[in-house]
This record gives sequence, C-alpha cells and structure tokens, in this order.
Amino acid sequence: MNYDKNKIHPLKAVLFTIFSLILFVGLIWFVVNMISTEIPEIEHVFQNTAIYAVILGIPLAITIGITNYFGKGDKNRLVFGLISSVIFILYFVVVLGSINLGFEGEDFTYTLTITGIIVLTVIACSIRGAFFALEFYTYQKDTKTKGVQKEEQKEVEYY
Amino acid sequence: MLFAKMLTAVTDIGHCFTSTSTAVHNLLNFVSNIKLWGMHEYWYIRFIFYQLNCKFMKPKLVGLQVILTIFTIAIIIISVTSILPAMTGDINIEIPSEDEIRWDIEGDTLYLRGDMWVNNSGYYTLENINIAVEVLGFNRTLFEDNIKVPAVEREENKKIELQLQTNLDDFSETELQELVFGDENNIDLVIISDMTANYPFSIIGFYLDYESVVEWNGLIKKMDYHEDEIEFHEISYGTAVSLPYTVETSDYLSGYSTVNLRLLNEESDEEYSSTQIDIPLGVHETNTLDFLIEDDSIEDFVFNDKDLIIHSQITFSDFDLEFDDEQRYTWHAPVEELNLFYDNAYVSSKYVGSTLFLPYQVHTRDLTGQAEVEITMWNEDESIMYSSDRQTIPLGIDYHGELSFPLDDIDTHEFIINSQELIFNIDITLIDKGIQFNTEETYYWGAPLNELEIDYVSYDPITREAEGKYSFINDSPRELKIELQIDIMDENKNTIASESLSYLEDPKYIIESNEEFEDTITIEIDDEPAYAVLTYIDQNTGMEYEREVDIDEL
Repeated sequence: MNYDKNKIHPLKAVLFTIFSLILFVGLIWFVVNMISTEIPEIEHVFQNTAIYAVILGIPLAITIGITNYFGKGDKNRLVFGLISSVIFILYFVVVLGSINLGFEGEDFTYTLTITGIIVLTVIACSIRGAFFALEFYTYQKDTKTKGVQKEEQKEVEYY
Repeated sequence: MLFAKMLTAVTDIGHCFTSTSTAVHNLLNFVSNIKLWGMHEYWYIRFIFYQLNCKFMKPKLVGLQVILTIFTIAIIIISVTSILPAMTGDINIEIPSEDEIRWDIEGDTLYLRGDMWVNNSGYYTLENINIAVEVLGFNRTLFEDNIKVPAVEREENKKIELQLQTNLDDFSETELQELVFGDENNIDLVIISDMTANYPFSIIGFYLDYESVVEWNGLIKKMDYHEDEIEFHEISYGTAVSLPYTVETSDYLSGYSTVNLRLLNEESDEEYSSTQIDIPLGVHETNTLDFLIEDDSIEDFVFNDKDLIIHSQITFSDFDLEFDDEQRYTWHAPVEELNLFYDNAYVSSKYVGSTLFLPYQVHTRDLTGQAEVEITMWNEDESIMYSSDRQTIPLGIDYHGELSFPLDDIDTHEFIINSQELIFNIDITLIDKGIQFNTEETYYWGAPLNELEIDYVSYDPITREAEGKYSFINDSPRELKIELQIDIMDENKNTIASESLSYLEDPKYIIESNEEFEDTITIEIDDEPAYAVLTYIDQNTGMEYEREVDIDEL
C-alpha cells in the first residue's frame, strides 16, 4: 500500500497548476475571443465570460495546484481540495451564468436558460469535494494502519 | 490502556460503518476485538481489518473518480446536445403565413384561424410548452390567446390549430372601413408568438419569440373607375354613361359583395341613374358600369360639363357589414361648343327662292365620326312650321357651317317685314354612338323691313307727279344697304315710269340696325298710273322684297 501522507509533490502541483490555467483560463479566453472575432453576430453571447474565467480561473488553478502538492491523506490536501471544489462551483456558476445564450434573427429571437446544466455542474463539483473527504479518510486509516503496524512491531519486539 | 482500547474500538465502529458492504464483516471483527482485548492478536486482527477495509475503500475511491468522470462527460454531452439544436434553429415554431390564415366572420365575431407548427429536431422531448399568441393592428392588440402543449417528442413536427377571435363591436368605424377597403399604405397585422418550453428536468429552458407581419389589403382591395375610358352611347336598352372599372377583392372571407351605385350631380344632388353589381370575393375582374340616362337628361349630358358623384353602398352576402363610399368625377360633355349665330342669320334671295341662312359652329370633345342634325323652324306658338334643314356634321373638329331654310314667298315676306319669335327644334343623332336627343332653341327674329308701311301714294295730274311715303324699322341685327326700285305701271301693266334709289348714291339708304327709316319719293309720270311696284333689295344679304301699291289720283 502506498503511503504518502508526508510526501509532497511539487512537480505534480506545478503541472496541475499549469494544466488548470491552460484549461480554465487560457482555453476559455482563446475560444471566446476566436468566436467573437470570427462570428461577430454572436459576440454578445460571451460578453464577460472571458473576464470571469480569468478572475475565477486563476485562484482555481492555484488551489488545484496546491491540492496536488500534498499527498493523499494529508489534511492540507483535504482542505485545499474542498476549497478548490467550492471555487469550482463558483467558477461554473459565474462563467456559465455569464453566457448569454440568445440569438436574434430577422423575425425571431430566442433565449436559452441553462440553470439545469449549472445545477449538474454544481453536483459534479460537490461530488469532487466529497471525493477529497473520502480520500482523506481512506488514506488517514492507511496512516493509522501503518502506525498500528509499527506499534505491533514494537509490541512483537517487546514481547 | 483499557480506555484507549475502548476508544479505538468505538473508532473502529465508526470506520466500519463507512462501508455498508462490509458492515457485517466489521461487526464480526468488532466482536472478535472485544473477545481479543488484552491479547496481542487483537492488534494483528485489527491490522488485518484495516488492511481489508482499505482494500475495499480504494476501489470505491477509484469508482467515485470514474463516476465523476462519467458524470462530467455526461454533462458535456447533455449541454452540447441541448444547446446545439436551439442554436442551429432545429427547435422553432412556424406561424401561419398570410396565405395560410383563414378569416371568418360569424355574427359579430371575427375569427382568425390557421395552423402553427412546433418543430423539435433536437435530441430530447420538449415539455411544458406554452405559446402566447398576440396579433397587433391599429396600434392595439386585436387578438390574443395562450396555448398549452404538454410535450413534443424528439424529431416531431407538431401541428397546433390556432383559433383567435375578436368582437367586431370593438372596432371603430374608421377601423372597420379600413378592414373592408384597406388603407392606401396597407394595414400590417403583426403576429407575435412567444413560446416557452424546457427539456426534461428543466436542464435547458427555451424562450422563443417569433414575429411575422401579415399584410391586410382589405376585403375590397381595389375598385378603380377608368374615367379616361368613359363612354356615352346607346346600349341595348337605352342611352347610357358606361364606365369601365376594375375591382380586386381578397379571399379572406367567402361570399360576394353587392354594390349599389348611384350617379349623382354633386351640385344639385340630382340622381341621374342607379345600377347594381355583385362582386364575388377573391376575384380580380374588369367590367363596365352602365348608368342608363333618361331621355330628358341626355341633352344635359351632351352639352354640359358637370361634377358627378358615384355613390356606392357596399354590403356582403355572408356577414353583416355595410359601407358607403363616394368617388368624384368631372363629366366633360362631348359637345364642347354649339353656337347658332343668330345675329348673323339673314334671308337671301340670291339663290332660287328665298332662304333663311343661319350660320353655326360646333366643336366636340373626343368624339369621332359624324352627327346628323335636323332642324325645323317654327313660329312662336309652333302652329306653323316654316322650314327645315338636315345636315351631317363631322365630329372631333371645330366645324363651321350654315343652316339653310328655304322659304316660300309668303314666308319670305313674313320674315322680311315681321319680326317674331322663332323656335328651332333640333334633333341630333351621334351616328357612331347611336345616341339621339332633341333640343329646342328660341330666337327673336328681327325683320329687316319690320312694320313696312307705304302710305299716301298718289298722282297729281296737274303736276304729273306721283308721290308716296314709306317707312320701316330695320329690326335685324345688321345694317341694310338698300337699293329701291320703283316702277310705275299703267292699267295694262306697262311700265310708264321708274326710279332707282341706291345707297351708293345716297348714303341715307344705308340703314343701321334698329334704325327707323322714313322716306318720301316723287316721280314724274307722263301717263295715267295705275299702281306702283316697289322692290327693296338689300345688297348685304341679297334680300329682295316686292310690293305693289295702288296709286290714287288726287
């Protein structure tokens, strides 16, 4: 069994931070700007989306990075995992909520509301948060098991 | 130590119940633990327990990760498959177009019917569909309704029967007028459909707003009279003013429209004629209105321009709507000018017999062909017809002519010495049009030698002179240039003396119009005279008048 409570993973943290920045900030920014340039008619759909993605994406990427810095079973990993899940929820609610899915044609207009999608993403983020809690408890037992094993070894030695 | 073990045991219980699938196993372990308290095996078994526990938890963590991944992918798929159809227009509603709308009037209610279509080419069923339909016109809402549709399955194009109604009593007079006749700028009816719907579990909510404009051209879109093609002519049952027209009606409603038309004089409100036409709704036709003109009005239409009103009363067969309409038209009489120059009329003996000549001028407007004119000349009480003339006159040009009325001797004398009222009865036939009408003109005829009196004609045997006095009034409108020939005759009708008097030698014989003239003539005679013959000749007109008078011996 792998025990890495006291292990830290700096490289993993950096990689996750960079990946998260690319995914949640860079990619969103790039896609929104490309669409706004190529199809000006739907520019209004992503009015402030890119800005919100930057404002919330950066702390999100940082917390993800910090989360992965710590080993499994580490309390800090749990804490930052929960924080990143909360920021995830905020991220999706704000960024998805900023998308103005409406279109105006010659003789028609339509608007979409994606509340259900947002709720599903909140649920997904909540599951992610629960995952970290479960992971913490799982690897903490592992820690204690390792501790028991050491004590048992001592007892054996003692006896 | 014991407390620590108990605490550990309680903790174990808590950990045991984190996994329901190993609850029993954990319980047994707990029981074993209680049994094994104080024994080193306890720790070993606990170690085994946690090992086993952890072995079950790890897969669950992995499982949860997998579930989370799958859930995320599902959210992405649902998002794309939900949003894409809407963005590409695969979810839409079709409002009935202008041609698909059916209008009906039943009693006081105007119905708008048609079929709407809700098209769902998306991936999921549309639920809780609510469509609010509003029709705007005349700056207000004419029709509105709310339609609820439970669901439209995926790949389904659902038809919804639309029926909107409004009360005609809510329309003002002006609005009803525009509904029937349209408006010069056309009436636009705006149909607004607001549809709200959602996917199952309200994953995506839709709000679609469609707007279309339906042009309302009126039930009677157009009724144009072709005023430039108006005809005044004879038809099978009389003389008529025929006015071609074009009418275009829409097929919004069924049935036909009855139009009662009256031709009126705008100034006097006199009704000249009336007619009726039935126009089926939904047709475009060109036809002709025939307004029959009574005989005693024909002359008025031939000679006089007038402002006419064509008054229409429009009713409909299938519904209770009635409207009045008026169109104005200026009637230009076909005969623009007909002048009989009475002032230039004269009696002439230049030709065989005497003739009364009456110059005239006629100018017709837009008429071609010929007209036949027959004029009879009567005395004042129409007890004596003096004469008549018949001429054929070309139309469409300014024509000058001269009517000639042959007169016998008695009539000639009558016209020369007696002023009187003359009645000209004129029958005109426009040959190409077949129109006949009669008119009458009265003219005061001024005789050139009106009230001619020859008096005191006597012969003095001592002086051997015959003397006479004559007087008359030139009642004609022109001056007379008189040449007077006096012949003295004996019993055997031989001329024994003559005298010629001429205006050329004595200007007093030029007698102006309305001038009274008096003259005394003395002639030397060698023989016994019996009578004298006075011959008056007017060199202007060729008029010649002869009278015999007896000569009394003093």
